[in-house]
Amino acid sequence: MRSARMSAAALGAYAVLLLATATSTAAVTFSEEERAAIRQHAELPSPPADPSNAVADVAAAAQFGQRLFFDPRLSLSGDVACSRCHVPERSWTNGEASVDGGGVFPRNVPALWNTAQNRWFFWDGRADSAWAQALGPLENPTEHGGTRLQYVRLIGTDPALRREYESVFGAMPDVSDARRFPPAGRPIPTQPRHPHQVAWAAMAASDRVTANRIFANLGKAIAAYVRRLVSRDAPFDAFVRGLASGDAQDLAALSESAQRGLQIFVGRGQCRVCHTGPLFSDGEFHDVGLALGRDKRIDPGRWAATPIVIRDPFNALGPYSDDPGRGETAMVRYLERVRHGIGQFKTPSLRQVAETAPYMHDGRFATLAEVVEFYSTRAGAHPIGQRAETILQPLHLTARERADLVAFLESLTGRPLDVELTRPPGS
Amino acid sequence: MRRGRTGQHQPPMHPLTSMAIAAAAAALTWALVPGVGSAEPAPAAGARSATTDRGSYVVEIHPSPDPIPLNRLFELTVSVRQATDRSPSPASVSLAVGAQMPAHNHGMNTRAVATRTRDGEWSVKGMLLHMPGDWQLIVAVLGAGSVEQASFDVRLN
Repeated sequence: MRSARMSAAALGAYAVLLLATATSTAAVTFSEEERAAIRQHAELPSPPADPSNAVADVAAAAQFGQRLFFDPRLSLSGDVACSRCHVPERSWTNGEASVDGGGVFPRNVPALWNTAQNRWFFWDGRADSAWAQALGPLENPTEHGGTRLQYVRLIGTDPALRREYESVFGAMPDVSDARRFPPAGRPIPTQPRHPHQVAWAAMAASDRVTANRIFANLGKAIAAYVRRLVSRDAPFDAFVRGLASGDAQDLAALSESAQRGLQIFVGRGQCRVCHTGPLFSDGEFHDVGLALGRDKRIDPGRWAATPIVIRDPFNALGPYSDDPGRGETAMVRYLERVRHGIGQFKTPSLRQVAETAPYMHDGRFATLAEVVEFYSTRAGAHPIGQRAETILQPLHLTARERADLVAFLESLTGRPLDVELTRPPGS
Repeated sequence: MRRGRTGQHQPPMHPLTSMAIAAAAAALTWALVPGVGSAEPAPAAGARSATTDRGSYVVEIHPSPDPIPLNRLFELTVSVRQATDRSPSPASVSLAVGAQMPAHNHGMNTRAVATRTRDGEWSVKGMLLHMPGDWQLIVAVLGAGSVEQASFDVRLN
């Protein structure tokens, strides 16, 4: 009797041991090639260094930038902050098809998730750093509508903002003399009679440099804050860990439908060819056939923006860069306007994509289902450039496959940000 | 005086040098048009040495980092030697380097900059293969009034 009990106990212990060490498998069988492709998308790395911005990782700069981000005084009207369009509760976009960001063509508001991972900024790549990007809307007449001189004087005359600025960037020059630093002014070389250009041109060259440097610093502070808006711990990331470890809980992070969608994504869908790596974007530009707008005008995209970023005094090679020429932030040195850039737009990251409707550069697709339908049928695609993406052929996905792909895309939503990052500091 | 992108003055380039580089660049652009290119089959993927299409030069490429990364800037050291006696190509030879994806109908989004480091050797910066798939690196050699090219197949996964 005693030996039987011991045998039963041993058997029971052995069974428990087996259960404890057993690994699970995914609902969908992935080949080794598919697993290798999937691993390339896993775990977004920490934001890369930005040599052009010396305060990119300085906490005080990020706090100052966060304050600026939510401050509506950084606008002509006094009631437009960055958060007006980059709404925290709307996943850092605004849920609308477009804001006329370029002043000419409709452009969807890019979500700010993982901005620091980008190589180029805006849909058309007209800026080469997050801080240079931040400066554009501040002076765009259809966005914030203000001028750099207005903002420089705001910082210089508001004691709290000035203190915070100086704690990051050192003593601020005196900008109170309105004869040297007029209330409004910015360079507009194409409009020599515009009052802003007239005021700007009338300034001493050294004062223009001073104003530019302060303006650039505001962008660098905002960039330091936006750099912290990082998506983490998406169900997809857990699933990839599960594929390696066999952990049942991690494998269960993706539904069977999403797993099938993932298989399409890395397989015959060829989505990963442009939506590469952990960011699910190569950060480069492609003509997918949507440059022809609903208004029948052709948005030139990258082609028009290339000379802008090359000539931008705030680019990585310019005098306001903290370390001109270093690293991949200086990729502008290898840029030239090429004909195949026409109609090209930046591959958007797919992290958090389920929250950032509508989609494409002009927000023409209201849902992910419409996006997938577009790539499945290519209906409405009008390649413009000579070098459009010829690999983009109709996928002819079934209804179930389209739903699976959408389910996978929905698995790229990470956990919410710390609420402290979603409002003005100290509020 | 020419003014570069940083606003710094640069010494003027000799007109013949300008024409030579423009011709090499034009030849490279021509070669990157789909369907046009080397009459000889490209060497096997991964090969680092190739003879130009008209047989005058042997071109070797050495990428850094190695293997060539996907969607990250990389550099090439390119050596060009006379096919006859393997001596370094003379100082009169100039170089242009690019890449294309034949199946995708497009090339790189960057313009590589080739700088001669000594006779027959160049440092090439600004190379970026931004998509996975099959690429063709093309080295155009301009010398003695003709343009020859060597191509190298690269597969990125």
